[in-house]
Amino acid sequence: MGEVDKELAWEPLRRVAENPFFILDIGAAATKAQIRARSRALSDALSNGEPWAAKYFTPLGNRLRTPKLVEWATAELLHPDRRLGHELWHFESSQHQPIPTPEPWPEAMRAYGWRSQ
Amino acid sequence: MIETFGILGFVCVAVGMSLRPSAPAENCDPSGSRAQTLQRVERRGTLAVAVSGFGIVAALIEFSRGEQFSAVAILSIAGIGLALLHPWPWIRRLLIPLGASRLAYAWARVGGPPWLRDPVGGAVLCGVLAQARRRRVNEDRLRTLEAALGRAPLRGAGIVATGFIAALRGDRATAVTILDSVEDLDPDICPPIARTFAADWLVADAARRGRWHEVHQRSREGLVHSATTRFMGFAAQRLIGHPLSRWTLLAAWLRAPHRHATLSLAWRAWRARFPIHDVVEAGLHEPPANGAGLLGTAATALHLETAQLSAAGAADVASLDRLARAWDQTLWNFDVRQRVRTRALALECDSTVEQQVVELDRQICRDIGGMLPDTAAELCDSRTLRRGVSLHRDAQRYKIALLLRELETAAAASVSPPASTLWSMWVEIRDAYARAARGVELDERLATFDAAERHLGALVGWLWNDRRERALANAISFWLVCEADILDQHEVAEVHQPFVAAGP
Repeated sequence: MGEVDKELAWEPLRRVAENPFFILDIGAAATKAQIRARSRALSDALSNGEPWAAKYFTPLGNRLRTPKLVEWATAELLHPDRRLGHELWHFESSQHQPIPTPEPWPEAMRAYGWRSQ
Repeated sequence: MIETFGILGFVCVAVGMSLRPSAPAENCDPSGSRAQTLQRVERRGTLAVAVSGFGIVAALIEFSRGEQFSAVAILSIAGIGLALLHPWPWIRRLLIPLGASRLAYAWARVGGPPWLRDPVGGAVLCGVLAQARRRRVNEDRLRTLEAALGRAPLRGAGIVATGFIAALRGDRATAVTILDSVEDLDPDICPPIARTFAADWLVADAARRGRWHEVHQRSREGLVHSATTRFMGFAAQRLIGHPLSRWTLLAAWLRAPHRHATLSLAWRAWRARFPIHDVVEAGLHEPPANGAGLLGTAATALHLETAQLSAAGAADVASLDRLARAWDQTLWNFDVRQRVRTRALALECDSTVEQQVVELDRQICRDIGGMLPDTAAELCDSRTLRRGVSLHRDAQRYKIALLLRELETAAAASVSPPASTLWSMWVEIRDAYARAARGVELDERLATFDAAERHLGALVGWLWNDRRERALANAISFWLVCEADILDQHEVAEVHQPFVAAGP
């Protein structure tokens, strides 16, 4: 998959693309201590501008990771009920091969001479 | 002297004809759009003949007298007069690319082809298209253009201009809805070139979002396409794996303008290879192989795949049937419930497994309802799918009721909203109705129609008699008549038939 974030505003896709396990890059069996440690490590890396922390992998392509997103994902996984809900929609990376779909073409408006929005 | 009198007489007759065009044909309503368009055509044609005739005859006379300079001057004046009367080629080639919105609108108000069916809307559209070429959109200018639309009944070009204004303001969803609705309009009120602009924008938007199936479909629908849209359709055809000769693609690319801008897409499509699929029995009733997530069944992975297909505009009823069957098997599987229960206990959840499964079931049904394709008529007997359809239908009915109430409030207000707002609200109602009708039986569809028809009938009368928006009233009536015929409600169809028969 490319490095470009696709339009994932639709709920069924966003549920997977913004799954806290992907955001924190940890397995579904992680303990609360591991979640907190991972969250701290990612927050530090993001504040130091480490390039490896800037993006995270999902079955729908790579997405941008922000400190706010890490904070939200940590809170979600520390709440037992909400964590269970996210576990239902979590894929191990080998479990889902993304459908090869042609990439979008952001310059399409320019083909007609109009400004890109 | 005789020649001078002859020319003067010719001009007087032409001016007289343009000021008082002949009466429209007997089968044409004099106050209808067709009659008005015919009168505009007659006026415009007569003036063009008068100006060009006067110029040519006068130039010939001067030329025969040996006054070459005067002859050229007369021809030049006649040429300028013709350009002023038919400004579209100049606006299209000069003012719109330069982004001269104010001048484009002002000159286009003179009228002429191709906006004879909607002169005001056409002028506004010229101004908006010029705005679309600018680096930064001038919001004040957009508001002025929008206000100009209110000076005449809303017609096709005006609706396209409204869609472009929404797009320039970044409201993509509204732009798509409005531009898509142009196809519903009577040809008498919608210049073909306005339809072309609407189709172009919709194709460009779909390509920008990677919905290549939609690009392919849109480029095959409709009557009038630009060369760029034709090329985009061919490129999409290759990108989604449908066979197409590379030379056909190349020829379409060469015919289209802005070749430098489309080169990257042409190259991508040129290099695209058609995937060779093994011919296998699809086995739509069998679950797929790879399980995923806590549930450990194929349903979760299949859910994501189908959602991806739906987002790309490529989901069909068969894939949805397969997904629904997979969920039927998963949600009623005791092993799965046991796994969720064990995990809930390990995490010390407050909610019970039943609450978790009910929430999951609700999410899935809502998603599946949203994935239903437009052509969903024959659905499999899946509990999850039926519930998804039912939830989706109820949500759309609720939305329709809210929108109808909003529309009635707007109609009853002392200052009713502009026609473009009313049209947007109507299109939303129509789309919600189409979504509510997906995959349901005719009697359920009839119940939705009955609830909507009462309000819409009153709205048509108000639009026709009080607001003089015949085009809008005609489009709504046409939809009501078609839907009533589908549902065998012939009495209802007869009530709305006069508004259709009278024309826009």
